[in-house]
Amino acid sequence: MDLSNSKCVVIHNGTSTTIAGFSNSEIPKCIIPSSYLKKKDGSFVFGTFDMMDSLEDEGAESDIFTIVDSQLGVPYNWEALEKQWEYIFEKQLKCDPTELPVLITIPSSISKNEDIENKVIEQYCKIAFEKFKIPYLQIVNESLSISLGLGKKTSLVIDISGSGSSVTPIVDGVIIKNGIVKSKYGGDFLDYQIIKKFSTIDEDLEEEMTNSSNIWVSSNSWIKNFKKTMLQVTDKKLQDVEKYYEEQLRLQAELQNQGSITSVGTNPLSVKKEYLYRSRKTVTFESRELYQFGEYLFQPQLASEQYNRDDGLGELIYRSITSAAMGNMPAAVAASNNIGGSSGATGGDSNVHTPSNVDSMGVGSGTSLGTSMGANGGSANSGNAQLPPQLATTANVTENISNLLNNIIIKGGTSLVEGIETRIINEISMRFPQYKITTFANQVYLDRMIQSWTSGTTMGKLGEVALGNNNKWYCREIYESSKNEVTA
Amino acid sequence: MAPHRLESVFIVYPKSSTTLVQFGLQDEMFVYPELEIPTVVYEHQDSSGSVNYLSRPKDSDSKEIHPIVNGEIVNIDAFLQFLKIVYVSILNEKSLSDPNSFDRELSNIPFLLISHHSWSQFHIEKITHFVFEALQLNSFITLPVSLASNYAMISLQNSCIIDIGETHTDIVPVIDYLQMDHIASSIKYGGQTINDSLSKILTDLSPEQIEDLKKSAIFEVLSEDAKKESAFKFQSSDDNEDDSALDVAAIITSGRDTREILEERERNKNSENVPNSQLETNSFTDRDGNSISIGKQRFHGCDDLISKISKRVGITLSLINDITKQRPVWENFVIIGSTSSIKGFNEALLTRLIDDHLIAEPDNEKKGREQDAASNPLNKKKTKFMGSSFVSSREYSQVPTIIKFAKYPEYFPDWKKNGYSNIPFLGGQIVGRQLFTHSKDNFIVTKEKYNERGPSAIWDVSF
Repeated sequence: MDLSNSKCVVIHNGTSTTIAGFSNSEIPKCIIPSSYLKKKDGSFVFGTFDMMDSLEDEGAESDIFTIVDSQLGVPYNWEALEKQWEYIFEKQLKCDPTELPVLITIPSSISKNEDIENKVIEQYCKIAFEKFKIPYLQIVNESLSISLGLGKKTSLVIDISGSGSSVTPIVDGVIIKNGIVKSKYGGDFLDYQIIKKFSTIDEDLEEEMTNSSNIWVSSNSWIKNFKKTMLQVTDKKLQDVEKYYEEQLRLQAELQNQGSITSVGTNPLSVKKEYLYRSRKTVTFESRELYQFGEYLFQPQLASEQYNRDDGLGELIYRSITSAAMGNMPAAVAASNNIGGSSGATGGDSNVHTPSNVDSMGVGSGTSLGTSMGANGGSANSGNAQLPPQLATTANVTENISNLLNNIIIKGGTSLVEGIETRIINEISMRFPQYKITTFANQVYLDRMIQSWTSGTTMGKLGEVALGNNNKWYCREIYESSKNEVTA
Repeated sequence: MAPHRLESVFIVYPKSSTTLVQFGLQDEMFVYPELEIPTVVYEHQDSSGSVNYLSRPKDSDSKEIHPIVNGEIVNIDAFLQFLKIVYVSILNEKSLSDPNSFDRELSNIPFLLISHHSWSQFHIEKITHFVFEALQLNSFITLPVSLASNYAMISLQNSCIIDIGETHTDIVPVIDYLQMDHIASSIKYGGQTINDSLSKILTDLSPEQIEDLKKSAIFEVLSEDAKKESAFKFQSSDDNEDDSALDVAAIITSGRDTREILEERERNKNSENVPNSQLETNSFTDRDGNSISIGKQRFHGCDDLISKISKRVGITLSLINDITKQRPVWENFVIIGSTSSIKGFNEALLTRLIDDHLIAEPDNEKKGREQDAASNPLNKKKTKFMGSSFVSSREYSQVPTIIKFAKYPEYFPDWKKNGYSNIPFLGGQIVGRQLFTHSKDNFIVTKEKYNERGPSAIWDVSF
């Protein structure tokens, strides 16, 4: 089946944002929140404009609901997802879902848990084939397609988005599951800290933020604005930067006493910045207060003792790299053997692994779809069900670390905070002193926001090209016939 | 590809109620389109059951079809037939006046169609297919309204197009010459919203008369200064006020002799040189020839529409993530559509955008700071000579701190004469002239490309 000539619909259901469009276009047709409003009459409202309008009509009693689970990054509210896709096909893409193949992305973090991953894929297939009668469904792993889309078989994908931060190591086109790490410290966490801060300035804010629609509107208006215009991250730990400037000023003061210089500079962290809070009043911040927010992503324990310092972004990256390059070898190899074993039961593991033999991909020959899809993450493109031999020897650990550090991809809406890229580089070089570090972060804001979607369009255009087991094609006819076989 | 003749360039700008058409560009200058045709076809089913689309109703059974509603194509077959009718009529007219024209300007007609952001990929592909297969043309470009407007406005890189129709308004941002599909939207309010507001306060007038009033020279949206100089009180929008009430308080406190003021007003009533905004009443002539006198109501009716537009603009532009791109968009608004030609409308819209969205220190806060500075004994000496206290203005890094309209081009005299509410057409003329007369065809769907790729060829060249 060669679909490389026809366009396809690409849908990315992210935790905060859903992006949809055609693969033949540079810009998606719609970028909408992954949440929705339920009106009093029970109907669903999607899209920022309609939701804002409805909130005005229906009043603040209406609630905002989510579709995607923030921890797992996959949908949990399937009824709403179905309605959202209906809205996307009808109102945004204005196309008949039965006529075009659809490509969707799933986050790499889900591949750590095969059960959940299989269930999710099953649900997607059910909706795609039974509800929408989509002819072909392609499911690609988000991080892998971003990496391959940039022409990299090996990379470390660092994603800082609303739901949190995650790090995914990819070696030779294979996601190293044991190296996937995730934390909840991302854009939403920053929103929460910002609300806490402003609650000390606006006494009514806490009360206002008990309502989901108020939270949603604020997150999408003034809080987003605050993050865009005021937040920054220091290139080193904020405490260290603080000490450095204090020391500088102390030295300058000494020199001034000696008469060598006439004036002492000001501490850059004390520089004031003004912010107009919701058109009501001007709030003045010292730079250090603004740097503090971004600092929480790297040192969450500074926000509260309850938060673990090991979940700071620097630590996450370190754990991911070391797990991927060095640790847990036996476990990974054992897992890949099990995968090989189970797919053998469905009638030939080589069939399952070779993407050109698409027919067998969706069929479990009597077993549930889950089992045949179980093979992923641990196998190389060649169809061999074992872990790549390179990872098995510790002598190559240095090489692996070097490859990963030389191909760091930074993505996600929250990664756009000024200074994050430099800080990440410094955090890594602190922990891996002798290595060369190269980062790739799209400098065009819109492109960075839609990177998952754009990589999906790239994958869609590649058609049949072997992308490993993390790229699966499902065909409606085969799905329906396999279902009939099961029920027969 | 051999460049086309200027006199063959065929441009169509279809809108919900009328379509602007021009066949042939002039050498020296861009001329306002001569043809404005109602966007209507008549569906007729004949005895055999086949459906035809005609330019005029054949009989009482013919159904009037408006293929475009609120900018969207609601009946693609009818729309295609409408395009065909327009095209064939041009061919007919030209060939009748000069049979040799088929050898010249009619021999190879390049077609530029101005499209709307709401048209689906399916519709655009179907149009492409129709242009090459049914109309048998060899060169085709689609140009969205937003980009056409930008090119007409001395080529803006970043802007926000506000296109006010009859029953809808489009708000479309353009960033780096690309239409931002994902944040382009429409609201269900347009020129008709003004009519609805007016009919509530002018209950004696018919809908047609209200429409005529709106289009007349006496209908105006007043600026804040004009309101102050006006004869009427504008402090509240309370319509229970006596419409012809004079601002008695203003007359008494003005310090002038009351009799003198009232005499001046009487003189002004009769004078023709007094601006509309300072007259108590003024009259217009409706389509039936009746002269109707209107009071203060002729300055009302636009608030609702303006506030709805401003609200949507605020949400739309806040969705632009890059502050460095958001800023220039706020500084380059382009207003199109015939409602924008109402006197004072654009200025009132700008004022509303500034009131609603400009990042500026709240008045009470600024006054507070000024008072504090004035009462501070250290400042007393400084301010003695300046008269008023001085505080530095706040510096916010938020956007927008400047809101303004883009400048209209000055060097198209025919367009300047006719007004800029249809400026996308001018963009079509500029782009058409540039691309069709060029030997390279990167941005055009040619017959060769169509033969190779089919209707999908449009996506290889689209803007």
